[in-house]
Amino acid sequence: MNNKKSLNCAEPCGIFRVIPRSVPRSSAITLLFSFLFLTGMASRPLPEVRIRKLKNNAYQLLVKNKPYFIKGVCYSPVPVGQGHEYDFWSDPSEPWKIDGKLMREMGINTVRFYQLPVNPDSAKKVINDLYQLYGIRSILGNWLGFWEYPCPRYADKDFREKVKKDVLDMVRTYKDEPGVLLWIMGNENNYSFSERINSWGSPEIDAITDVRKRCDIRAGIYYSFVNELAREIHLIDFNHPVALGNGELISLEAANQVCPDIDLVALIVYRGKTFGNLFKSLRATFDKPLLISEFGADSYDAYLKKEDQNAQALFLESQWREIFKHSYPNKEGAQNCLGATMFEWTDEWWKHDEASPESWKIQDTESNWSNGSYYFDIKAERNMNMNEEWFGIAALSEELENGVNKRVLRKAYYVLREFWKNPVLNHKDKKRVKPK
Amino acid sequence: MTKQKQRLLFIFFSAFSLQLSAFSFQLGAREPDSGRLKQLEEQILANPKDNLSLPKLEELSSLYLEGHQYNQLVDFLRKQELIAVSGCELPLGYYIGLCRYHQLRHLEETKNWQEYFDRGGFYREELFQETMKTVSLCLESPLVIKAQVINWLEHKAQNDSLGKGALDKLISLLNNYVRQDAAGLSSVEGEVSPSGLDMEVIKETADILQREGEPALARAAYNLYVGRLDDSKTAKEELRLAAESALESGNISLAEIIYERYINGIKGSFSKEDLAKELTAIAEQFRFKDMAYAEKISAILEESCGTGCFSEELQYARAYNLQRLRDYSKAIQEYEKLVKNFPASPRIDEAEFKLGVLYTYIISQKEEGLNYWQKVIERDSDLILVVESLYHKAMINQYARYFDMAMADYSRILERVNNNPDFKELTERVYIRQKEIQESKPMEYNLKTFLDVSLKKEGIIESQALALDLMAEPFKTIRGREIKFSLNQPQVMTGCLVPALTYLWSGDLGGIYPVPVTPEFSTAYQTKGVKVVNVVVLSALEPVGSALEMEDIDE
Repeated sequence: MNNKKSLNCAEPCGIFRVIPRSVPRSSAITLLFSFLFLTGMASRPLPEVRIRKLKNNAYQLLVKNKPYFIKGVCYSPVPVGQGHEYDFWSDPSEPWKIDGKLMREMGINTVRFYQLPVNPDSAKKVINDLYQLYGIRSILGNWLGFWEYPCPRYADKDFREKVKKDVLDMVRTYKDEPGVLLWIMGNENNYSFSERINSWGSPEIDAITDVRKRCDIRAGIYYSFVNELAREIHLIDFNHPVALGNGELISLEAANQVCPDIDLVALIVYRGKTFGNLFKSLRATFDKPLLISEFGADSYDAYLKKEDQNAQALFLESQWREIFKHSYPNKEGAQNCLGATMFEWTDEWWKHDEASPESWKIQDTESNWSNGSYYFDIKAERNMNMNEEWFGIAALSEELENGVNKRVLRKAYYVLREFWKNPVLNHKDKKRVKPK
Repeated sequence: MTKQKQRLLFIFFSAFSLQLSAFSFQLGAREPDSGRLKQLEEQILANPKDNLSLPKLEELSSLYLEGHQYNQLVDFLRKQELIAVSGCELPLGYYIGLCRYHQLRHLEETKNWQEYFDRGGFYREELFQETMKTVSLCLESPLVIKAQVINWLEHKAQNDSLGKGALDKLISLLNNYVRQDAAGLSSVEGEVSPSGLDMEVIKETADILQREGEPALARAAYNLYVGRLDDSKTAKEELRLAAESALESGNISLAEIIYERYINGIKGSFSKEDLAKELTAIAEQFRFKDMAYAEKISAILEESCGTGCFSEELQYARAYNLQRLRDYSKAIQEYEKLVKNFPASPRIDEAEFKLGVLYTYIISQKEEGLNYWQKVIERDSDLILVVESLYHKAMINQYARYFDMAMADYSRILERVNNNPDFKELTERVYIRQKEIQESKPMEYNLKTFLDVSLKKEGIIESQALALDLMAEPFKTIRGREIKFSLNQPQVMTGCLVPALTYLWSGDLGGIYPVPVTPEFSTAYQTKGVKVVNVVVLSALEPVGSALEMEDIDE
């Protein structure tokens, strides 16, 4: 109870906020000391993971008070022949130990999990192994019921309560694991507002004839709910920031109205070789620190119908260059990016047809979606150029090695390994490599 | 450099494109004949300045590259360097660059990333140094362009900051090469070509630029190439043959540029009739290869000779071409010219039927459309198009709730087709429509939605509208042959989530009922005629776009 009370004292700005700089320094110091004295917080340690806002409005992630730039990857090591329900967390061959070593050698310091399993012990083991053995931290996510059948009913209080319980249980279960970095609430759930994906409503929403208005109302309901989750997570967990997962920048102007307790945004962005004006636009729309929680490029050319590791490596290097460019302390950028988790570590052979177990045994070359920003193969039939089963930094071989599908590292692995050793922020500065 | 040596350079570097592409995709190495390798090496080493050393070096390089023995080749070339032959007499640097270029591509193809990243920097540096050296030493030779191409391609593969400069330099070297020749600085009298210019290297550089996604620069390089053809007083006939040959080999860009020169040349010298005949033939060649270019030729013909120069066949082809290009307002204009200028054309019914469809469903001028269908009905010369026109007219009346008029036309269709099995599909559609009226039921949902969207332009909210492109493959076929209709994936902001779209197919679907979750279906038609296929795309029950395609079925 006391703990809760003292945590409340950090509100309403949230644990991860910074005092505005406009207050005169002497007054601010006096105020701060009086505040700390009154609330008994003088001896309270800083959160293990926190985001600081600097004088120039730059954002920086600190872990144990040291700068931490997220060089991450989305991690879902489903083996060949298995589907999305496969519990890789309990895989007796422990693929994360093989992957963790390769990741560390590449320079990865963070993995992102979309959703945790039912059995927390297995997940804790994976999180701890990655952290203890390889120093890799974990970002833990929750779908917020987005895939509930028949649709995520965010307008329904009972549904929201159910999701909230699930989220808070997750936080209580994992918050003390040393490898945890932060929480992400939802993924691309905002695409449901426009009714094209997992459309949801209520008698009141459905009665509105104006599509745009229906969209705005859904955004208000959903983002208020996520803010409520963030607020309650902060009451339980002092140490980890809470991110709002969002597809692109869509509807974030609504989040700006109702999400004061969100610490950062985690955006899913597929804009090809460049993120364009994303970083600056976010400053104008919803000025929060940014984690690009999903982005990348597939390694299959749907037009030429063959693997193209060069294009994947080229796109990823270009994307990472921009991520660095818009991070602190690079003054030329927006300085709001804390890093990113690219999609993804290994290919997943089940993704093209998740309902057909037979198809999980082969790596499909049929595309699932279309994106003109990936121009190299947009001329594919029906413009279908995005090959969901070919996004891995490591390809999977059917051959088993220590009980795990052998990892065949793609060109992107080496390109990023070299880039991270010496990130050249401006493309124009990337000159010839001196021979070894 | 002696004339003879320069000639040899021309000969041995003429298959440059081949040199760049031949070896990188041969994953299975062919073990080189070691005896032959040794023999060649000894011969070159014994007399490096001999005129025959260059072809031997060419053969030796090919053998090593085919066998993926890159380091061995470079070792040999380095040994040669010690014997001190000047850069252009025996272009060792160029071969080292070429070898390293292939080696890097081979490492990529075989995914040997370990060597690629451990040694790649070294190979690359060697490539850059040697090609730059060649460029500085061999300024008057075509070799300079080939070396710079390799240099640029490697910078491009690296996505580094020097790529743009390398490309600029390549273009500048290419221009200088052509300019020098034009000024007679490097011409070699009586050798290789009258001007001494290696035309192939210009063309192949243009080919590479085209292949590497630099169409504007490729076009400029093709222009240099064609310009030199022209400058060398090539006869017009030869230009035409060169264009035809380029077209046959699949190089459409080059063919178009040569034809442009050719057309400019014949414009002033051919009579109107001959010009019309020639342009008609050229437009016909491009009809199925580059419809936009075919239209460009038609426009030139119209500008040069007026509409009167258009044959009936060309007039129809132009209108049809514009219809395929989805330039519907122009297609209407051209079909109307056909109707007006060739009233006795055997295509008149087809043109008027299509005008009915385009006016009614595409540009929402229902009255104009109905007039054209009425003309087909009254002419009564092509039964298939007459009954289809009656059907569309009746359907529009049914939609407008003029049920008596609709029923009368439906009955006329049945009378005219008189249980002819060739009209089975149409008869079935008519029965369905009649039943809807008789039982006071609403029109079939898919069809009604299409009519709502196309006739009233209702339902699609501008902010939600999607650009749709309905394709038929093949777009002209014969009875009983399979056709695939497919809708290009609309670009919807849903990230990597597949949008939940519903596809409402309607019209003449060849007797099949595509499921609404699929953006494509295949069918075959048993009767000839113009088949009209419609689709409306819904997102969460709201229409977000519609499209129409007309498929021509011949006997």
